[in-house]
Amino acid sequence: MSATLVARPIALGPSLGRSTLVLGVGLALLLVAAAAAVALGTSGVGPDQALAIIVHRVTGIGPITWPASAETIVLELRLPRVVAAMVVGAGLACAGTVFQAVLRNPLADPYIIGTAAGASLGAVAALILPLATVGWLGIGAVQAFAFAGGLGAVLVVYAVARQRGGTPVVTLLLAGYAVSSLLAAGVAFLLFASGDRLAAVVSWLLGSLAGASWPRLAIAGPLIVVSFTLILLRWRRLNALLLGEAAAAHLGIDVEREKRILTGLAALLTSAGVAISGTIGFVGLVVPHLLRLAFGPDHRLLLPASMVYGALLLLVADLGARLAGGIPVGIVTALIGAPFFLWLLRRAVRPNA
Amino acid sequence: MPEPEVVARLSGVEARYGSAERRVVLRGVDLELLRGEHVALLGANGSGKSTLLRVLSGLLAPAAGEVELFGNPIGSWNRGELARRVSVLPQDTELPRGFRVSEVVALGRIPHARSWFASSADDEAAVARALTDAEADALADRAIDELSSGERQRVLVALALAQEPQLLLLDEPTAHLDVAHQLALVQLLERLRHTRGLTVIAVLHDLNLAAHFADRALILADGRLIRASDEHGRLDVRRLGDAFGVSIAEAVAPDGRRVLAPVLPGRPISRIPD
Amino acid sequence: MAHFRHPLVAYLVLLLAVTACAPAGESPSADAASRAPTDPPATPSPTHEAAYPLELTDAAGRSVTIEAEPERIVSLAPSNTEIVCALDACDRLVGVTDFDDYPPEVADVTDVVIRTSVDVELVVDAEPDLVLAAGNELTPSTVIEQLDELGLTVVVLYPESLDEVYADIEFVAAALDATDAAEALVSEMETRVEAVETAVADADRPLTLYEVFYSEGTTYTAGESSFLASLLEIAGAEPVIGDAQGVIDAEALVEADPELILLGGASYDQSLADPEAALETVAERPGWGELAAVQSGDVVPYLDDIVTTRPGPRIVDGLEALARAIHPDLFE
Repeated sequence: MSATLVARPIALGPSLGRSTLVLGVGLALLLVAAAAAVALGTSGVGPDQALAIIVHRVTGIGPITWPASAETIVLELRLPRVVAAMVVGAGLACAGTVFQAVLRNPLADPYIIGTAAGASLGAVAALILPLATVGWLGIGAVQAFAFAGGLGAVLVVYAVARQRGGTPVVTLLLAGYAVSSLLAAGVAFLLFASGDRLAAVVSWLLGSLAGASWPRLAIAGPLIVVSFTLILLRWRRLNALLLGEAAAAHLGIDVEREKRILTGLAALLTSAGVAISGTIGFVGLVVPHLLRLAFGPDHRLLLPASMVYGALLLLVADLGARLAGGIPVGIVTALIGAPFFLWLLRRAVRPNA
Repeated sequence: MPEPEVVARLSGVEARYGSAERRVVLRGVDLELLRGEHVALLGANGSGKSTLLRVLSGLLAPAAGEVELFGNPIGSWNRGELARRVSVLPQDTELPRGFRVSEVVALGRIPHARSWFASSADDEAAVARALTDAEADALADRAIDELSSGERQRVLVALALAQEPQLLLLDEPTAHLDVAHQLALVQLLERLRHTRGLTVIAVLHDLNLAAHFADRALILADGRLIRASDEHGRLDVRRLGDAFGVSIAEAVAPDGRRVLAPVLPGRPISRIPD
Repeated sequence: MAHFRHPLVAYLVLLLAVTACAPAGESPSADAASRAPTDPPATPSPTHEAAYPLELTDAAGRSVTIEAEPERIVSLAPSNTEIVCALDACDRLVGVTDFDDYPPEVADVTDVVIRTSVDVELVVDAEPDLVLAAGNELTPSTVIEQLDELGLTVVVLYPESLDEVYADIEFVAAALDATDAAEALVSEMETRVEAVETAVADADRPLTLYEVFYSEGTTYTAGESSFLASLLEIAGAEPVIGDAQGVIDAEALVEADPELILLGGASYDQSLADPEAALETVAERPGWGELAAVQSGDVVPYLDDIVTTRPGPRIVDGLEALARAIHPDLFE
């Protein structure tokens, strides 16, 4: 076979250089944002103190010139919150990317096939029913129920949508809508009956990172990281799914199995995120779209980028929410996300420049 | 002389569609494809040609009968291995937006992927070859969204070729292509037969193109495969006419080649003036 | 479990445990506050005045240990702030809510609760020895948990009757070693309450609607067995009662047909402050035109809602204001 001289290099995907740039810049921004979020807060603990505290904790270097309260603030309040924001933001953006590819629907977000409704029902039930709020393993009843509710709902949706030949995407979406509506009615009823718990419930539904703590992260965190990794390894299969299920099958992909695995991993990501912080919206919908617009739909870059920039978005939003008087972060992401989404829609109507 | 290898075999295949799978689309279909053969599959719209290809590619499991590929039952094949040998150009594939042409064609290398992150030099070469073969190299850096339907079709052909298959299943590959490109495609397939022993079964509508391309022509009618060419590969005009419900006239081109044309009923303007 | 070596200590802890399991409605805090504080193990009966460390059980049944006299107090509810200040410990407050408005000194104290959101970072930054939270989710239980986990001493208060207010005052006093001040305060409050009760003892008890809030045909008033209902009764009225959340719809209201309507909203809404304007507004509401109170013009803008609904030391001010509004002729 004669070697073909390639006259000019052919791009098979985003180049290594470009990917490094995109991810590198993202990580750099993330680092800066994380540092800022640990250094800033409503109390007087400022950047130099925060830095000194962390350095001392990690290396033992330096005399202690700060009160115990400052250390608590930095290490037990701000730091876990920053980590939680990054982990949840990355998880939601990644889940959104996966769902958009598997369901081939640009309106897909991590909650679309029932995760939000199921998790909400679980959390609201735990908030309202007289259950112990101090759980084992540092997970409260609310977190455990939210997680179980989210996953449970997806399982139900998948089971309902299953047909002999496979699980058609359209049926999945419709079943997701139906199950979500049903569960949402349950949530509404509990809200109506909740009386004095209403404020707590609404706060949870809006999504908030205020309750982030190391114990809460201890279980959900690794779950999210492991799910990320497994999803990252499947970038080629996600690309293939973009051609449609038949074409993907022709490329050697076991489409039904892949859909199950990807949906399951994305549901895990979402449920774990919801267990940490409630249902924070827009991150999972908007980040994948924006990144796709900016860097193309190839999942080799899109997946890691969604994690990095999802983390960045939620981190910045939470910092804003904190400094703006402790408003639920879901409000900030909506304020950022909704205008972006409208702008996206306008672009779609008049495609490209 | 060694027996030519049977690349694909269908025995007594029956396929059904619809609710409760009542509609029988293929009945008792027997087919053997030998290595290097070019087979044209003809038939009226809705006669089941696409279904036949789907059974061959493993996408549809037959209700009865057996499917063998490269000597093994289709069920025994690992999907990835099969994808390295068989590629399909389906009707109406939507190409994903936002990609460049070369990136889409690169998707065809997925069955051959080895490392997790990077593509290999082999992949690059294969994609380049596929683009050249499909006469799409000028399009390599263009965005998919901007292509005309003909250009898109060539990209799809390149995608199928990038898989470096031994068996190629084409469902109306010449749709949207102008005459020059149609011819180029057939010539390409001929070339690949010589260089790689590529076996092709293609659904075609143009009778002359089919005649030019095929060693053998088959008609699918009433769910059954009927031979539509003789042992020399000449198309059986009568059978074709019956299958399509139209009479087919033969003419002779100046260079002696046989030209087939369906005779459309009743229009005076098509008659040769006295 | 060194505590259980001394039989007396074991007995006391057991009693505390039993009290903690008492059903809601009792005042476990009162019992705990009036009981002798537990001794540290190896010391025989103390001869000095030190009462710390103190083990108390709060309104939520949470058992709390107060190591030493609290010098830095954070209050997460206006009523708690007022209790602290009434016990002459106002200068020890290092964190309050942005709703706190009494006494005027607290305006200078850092707000750690903005609107309804508790800023945990600010609470920790204030380095409190004692945090006074509010029950019934006024301080979210998630926040209480978080503060607990961060090692702060948190006490939850939620009085639902006058007796429980006294108990809370005594409870906080016990924590602050200010029992004398508490006694004087409670005694004064009880005297004033008695005075009201005596004054209205023989008077008619008008069927009275206390309107906390009105929106879209739904009125929010005193709920079943609520604090507000009991205050209205003591003030010499027969209260119109809503459901468990205090909600009463227009139909039920018409059926009840109150003789007197007190508009608590007038304390916040200027448009209801003028009696004639208020009557007009109220008469236009669907179904209200027929109410006896509206027909006879007995619709009174009530300007003391804050002290009537804040379960702290000034609750008796609220009671007196109610009595004046219900029986103006009996109180000059």
